[in-house]
This record gives sequence, C-alpha cells and structure tokens, in this order.
Amino acid sequence: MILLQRLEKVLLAVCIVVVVAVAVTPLAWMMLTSLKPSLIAVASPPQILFTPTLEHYIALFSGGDAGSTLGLAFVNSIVVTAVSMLLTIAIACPAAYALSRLRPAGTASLTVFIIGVRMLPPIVLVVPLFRFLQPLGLNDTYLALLVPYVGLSIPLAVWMLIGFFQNLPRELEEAAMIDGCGRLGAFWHVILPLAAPGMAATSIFTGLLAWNDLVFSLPLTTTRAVTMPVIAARMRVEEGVLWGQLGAVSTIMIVPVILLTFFVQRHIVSGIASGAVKG
Amino acid sequence: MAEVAIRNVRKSFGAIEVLHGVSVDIADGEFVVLVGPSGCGKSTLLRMVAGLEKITAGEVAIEGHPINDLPPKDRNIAMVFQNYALYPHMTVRENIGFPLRMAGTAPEEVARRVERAADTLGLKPLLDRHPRHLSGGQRQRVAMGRAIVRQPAAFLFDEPLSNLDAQLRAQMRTELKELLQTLGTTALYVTHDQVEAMTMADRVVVMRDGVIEQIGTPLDLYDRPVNTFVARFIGLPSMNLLPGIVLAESGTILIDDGTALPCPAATWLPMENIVFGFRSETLAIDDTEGIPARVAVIEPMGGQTQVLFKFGSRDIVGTFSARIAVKVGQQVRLRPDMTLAHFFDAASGRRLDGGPPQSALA
Ligand SMILES: Nc1ncnc2c1ncn2[C@@H]1O[C@H](COP(=O)(O)OP(=O)(O)OP(=O)(O)O)[C@@H](O)[C@H]1O
Ligand SMILES: [Mg+2]
Repeated sequence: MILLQRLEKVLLAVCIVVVVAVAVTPLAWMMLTSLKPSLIAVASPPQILFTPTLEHYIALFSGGDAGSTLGLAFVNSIVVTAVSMLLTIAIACPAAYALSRLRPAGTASLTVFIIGVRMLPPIVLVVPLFRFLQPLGLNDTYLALLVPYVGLSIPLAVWMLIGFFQNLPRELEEAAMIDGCGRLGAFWHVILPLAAPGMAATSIFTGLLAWNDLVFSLPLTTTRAVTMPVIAARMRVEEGVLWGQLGAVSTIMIVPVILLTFFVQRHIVSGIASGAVKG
Repeated sequence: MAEVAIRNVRKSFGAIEVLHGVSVDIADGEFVVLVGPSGCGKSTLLRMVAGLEKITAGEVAIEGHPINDLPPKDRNIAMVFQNYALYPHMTVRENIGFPLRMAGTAPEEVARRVERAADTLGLKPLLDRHPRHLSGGQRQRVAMGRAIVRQPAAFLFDEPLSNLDAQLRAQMRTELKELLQTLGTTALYVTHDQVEAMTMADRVVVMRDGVIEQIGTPLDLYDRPVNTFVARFIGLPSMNLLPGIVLAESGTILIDDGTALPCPAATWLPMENIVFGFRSETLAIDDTEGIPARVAVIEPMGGQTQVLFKFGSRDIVGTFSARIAVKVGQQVRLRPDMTLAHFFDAASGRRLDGGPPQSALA
C-alpha cells in the first residue's frame, strides 16, 4: 500500500518534470541562443558550454537594420497591447452584462453569430482592411492595429464574460439595487469588482493576440507602428537568419508576457467570488 | 416606519398567472408573515413589494403612496435574502455601510451607524472580515445589519433563516423577533415554515397557489382555520382530519368504520358529509368508547409524548403531556374533545361555521 503510494508520487514527479521540460526547453534554448557567439549559435551538435556574450543585444540596440526601431517597436507593442486590452474590456463588459441579464430576444443566435465572427481566419480581413485604411492615411498607425485586434477580441471576450456574469448570483445586484443603486450603480459597485477574475482571464487572450500578432502588423505597419513580431521577422536577412539576434528579440518579447501572466494570475486564482452566498 | 398596502395584486410570467389578486394591509410597525407551500408565490409577492418584479396588475402603496413604478432604490425598503447576498469583495464593515454610502451619508456618520448596528447584532469583532470567513449564522447577522443600518420604512425577509441549522434557527428566530419589537419597523416576512410563522408573526397570511387562503393572528389560524388546507398547514403536528357523516337525529358523527362519536352541536350542522378535525392535544385515551386505533409509533420528547395511531389505513397523531403508559401494537380507543373539534364541508373543504362553541378555547 505504502509502496503503491510512493510509486504514485514518483510517477507524478516524473510527469511534472517531463511537462516542465517540454515547456521550458524551447525558452531556455532561445535565451541561450541569444547569449551565444554567432559562430557557435548554429553549431551542430549544439554546444552546451560557451562564453556568454551580449553582442546580439548590443547589435540590436546600436543600429543595424532593425536596431534603430527596436526601442520604438517595444513601446509600440506595449501601447497597442495595453490599449487593445482596455478597449476590449471596456466594450465587452457592458455588452456581456446586458446579454447575460436582460436577455433580449435573439440572444442565443447573437451569441452564435459572435462566435462565428471569431472563427473567421484573420488573414481574410487583412486585404480589405488594408484597402480600407489606405485612403484614410491610417496605414502604419496604431489605429490600423487596434481595429483588428479589438474587433477580433470583442467576440471572444463577450462570450467568455457572459459566462462569468451568469455565474454571479442575481441576488447580489438585487441587493445592491435595494441598497440604493440603480442598475448601473449595481454593475459598477458590485458586479464589476466580482467579475475581475473573468476580466483578467479574458484580457490575457486579447493581450496575447495583440502581442504576438504578425498577420496584421506585418502588412499594415512599415516604420512608425511596427511591433516586436515584425522586428523578429526582419531577422531573416538575405544571408540567412540572424539566430543570435532573433533569440535576443524573442527574449525581450517574453519578459512582459511573464510579468503580465504573474500579475493577472493573482486575480484569476483569488477566487474572490466565494462566500457571496452560502456555499 | 410605515404602513404597506397590497391591493389586488396580480403577477404573470408570460402567459402564466402565478398570483391571482392578492390583498394584504400591513399596519405601521406590524410584523406580517407570508406562509405557504413551495411555489405558492410568496417570494414573487415580496419581490414585487421590493421592486424587483414588475407588478402586472393591482397596486402596492407605502405610507399611502403608490410605488408600482418606483425603482427599488427609491422605495426606502430593506431586504434580507435567503442566501444573504453579502457583497463578497467587501468587509463586514463595508457591507453594512454600503446602503448608507450609496445614500451619500457622510463618512463619520456611516462609521457611527455601522458601529451601532454591529453592536446591536454582536458583530463588532467581525467588522474587518470578509463574508467568506464567516459562518452561516454570522453571515445572516451581517445581512440583518445591512438592513437595519438604514432605518428603512419596512423590512422584507425572504426565508432568512432557512439556511441555518435547527438550533441556530430557533435562536435567530427569537433574536429577530426581539430586534424587530425593539425597532418597531413594519416587516413582511416570507417563510414556508409554519413554526416561524406562528412564533414570530403579529399576523400570518396563508397562501396557496397564488391566492390568500386566510389572514389572521397565529392563534386565529390555529383556533379557527377557514378550510382544511389551513387546518392542515398551521400547527405542528398537523390537525387530524377524518371524513364523516352527520347523523342529526342521534347527535353523532359517523366516521369511516361506523364508529359513532357523540357530537354536542352536530344537530345544527348544515351538512351531511363533513370532514371532522381535531388537534393532537385534544385527544384522550379511553378504554371503552371512541375511535378504535392501534399504537404505531411512540415519540417521547421529554415534556411531551407524541404518539402515532393507526385507524384502519388512516394516521391519527396525539400529543400527551403526561408520560402515558401505552405500548406499540396496543389497541386503544381515542376520544377527541368534541367541544374543541372543527368541522369542514367535505366537498369544498370550507369551515362550517356555527359549529361547536369556540368560547371553550379562550
Ligand atoms: N422568473 C420567473 N419566470 C417564470 N415563472 C416564475 C418566475 N419566478 C417564479 N415563477 C413561478 O411563480 C410561482 C411562484 O414562485 P415563488 O418563487 O414566488 O414561490 P415561493 O412561494 O417563494 O416558493 P418557495 O417556498 O419554493 O420559495 C412558481 O410556480 C414559479 O415557478
Ligand atoms: Mg421563495
């Protein structure tokens, strides 16, 4: 019996190690690559021991084709991602709340429609969007990216948030309305704070879409509004791929994602909704 | 404090009408309990008074002003929900103070009144906790605190004690009654527990299937139920009801198996086919005359003993204050006190008035 339990624990540990290894290896590889001197970056078999160098980071920041725009791209990525997340939440929350509570006629088919939009392959939007933005002089601006990011995120966000709102007991907002709130007040004082985990989870999707996107940013931006993935794509030059610099760009891109994940995770797991009603 | 008038109120959900014209007048400071089986429309009626459901037809007035079209926040009522509906992201202090803050009360005044409400309810040590760290009884108290802190015109309660265990429920029942007596605020209280209704109410409203069956003080309902439904519903254990035939000439009632029970007033009962009811405590055990029955279950409760008798396929319940000496399986004769018996029309279930003198009850 005890032996069996031991075995179970060992097996569990092995599984965890495997999963972590699968998740971490590419990241570690990428970071190592960014620190390897160019010559041994592509050595085969891979060289584990080497003298780390910051040459790729220095090259990135000190000029070179892409280098001059790296700082700009980083700021652009942050801004576009943050604004996309905020806009999406600001629009999706009231919409989802209205759909979950007032249940206007046709809610069911509307929800299906919303998801249908989400299933559209993003690439089909690129050309129309390009043709639409060009005469307005909006190509290579933040707006060119915000429109597709927010537009594509809202459906999923609304759909996810409807679920969160529906899980909040109605009595909470009824209590708030009796305690002196209008419907908007109840939404603001009671529902929104309780939906925070839902909003956090939803934001991650929007954030990742905006942060990682290349489908829109590559054709729709050129210089002013370029984002990090565009810079990463430019590491493929005529002579081949600048593996070291690509590793460096990717490493820089990972940092905010890790920070965001930590920040948002706290909200998601806080389980604040427990204790609302007798559990 | 205010009087609440509910006048001929109807409610439909879609095509289905669930309240069929209900009228209750609640006097200033009165504690009225709505009681009835599940699904009879108690919560719906309460929620219409609160403003959480639209009133399909009829009128609700507080202090003489119709409030049909006022949103809940403008009705100056407080409500305690069955699941308490505490705001999970707020501490006890913030929960109790919420209605005051929403009314724009000055922070010092909010603090003062929250302290006072917490004091009344014994919540002082818990003020900085979140609801999820409270027991069921404590949550219940916080919900009460949130209601009393505002000094509303009326309190509405929807089964506020039903999530508590039996002992705590009995304790809270007493506390709540005491609290409301002190505050003297009008209250409308919904429950499906007739014990709560009997013990707490100034007046009880018995509902069934969207209509009011009877309104009266707890003892009114106990002593003079208007029909077999109320007779069965009010009182624990339920009233014993047996069908019978009135034999006017001999002044007796013939029940089921042909047993004749002498009935002092039966001569002027207007009906032949009746339902004859008697409370468990009016039953006496006799050796010679009365209803022949077999002792089925004996439930000693210390001060009282409750006995279930089988009379043919029917159950008869008796409660005896003395520790009676009967054994399970024993054949006995049961003699109800006919001066305290109730008579109902067998067809409609309605009380047959002009029955036995009720003065004996006083
Ligand atoms: N939103 C609604 N839509 C449709 N029907 C409803 C709605 N709310 C209540 N009903 C119906 O109205 C009737 C009365 O419901 P209500 O909740 O008032 O009963 P209740 O007396 O409070 O019962 P309980 O003791 O179980 O709480 C029920 O038949 C119920 O199915
Ligand atoms: Mg109910």
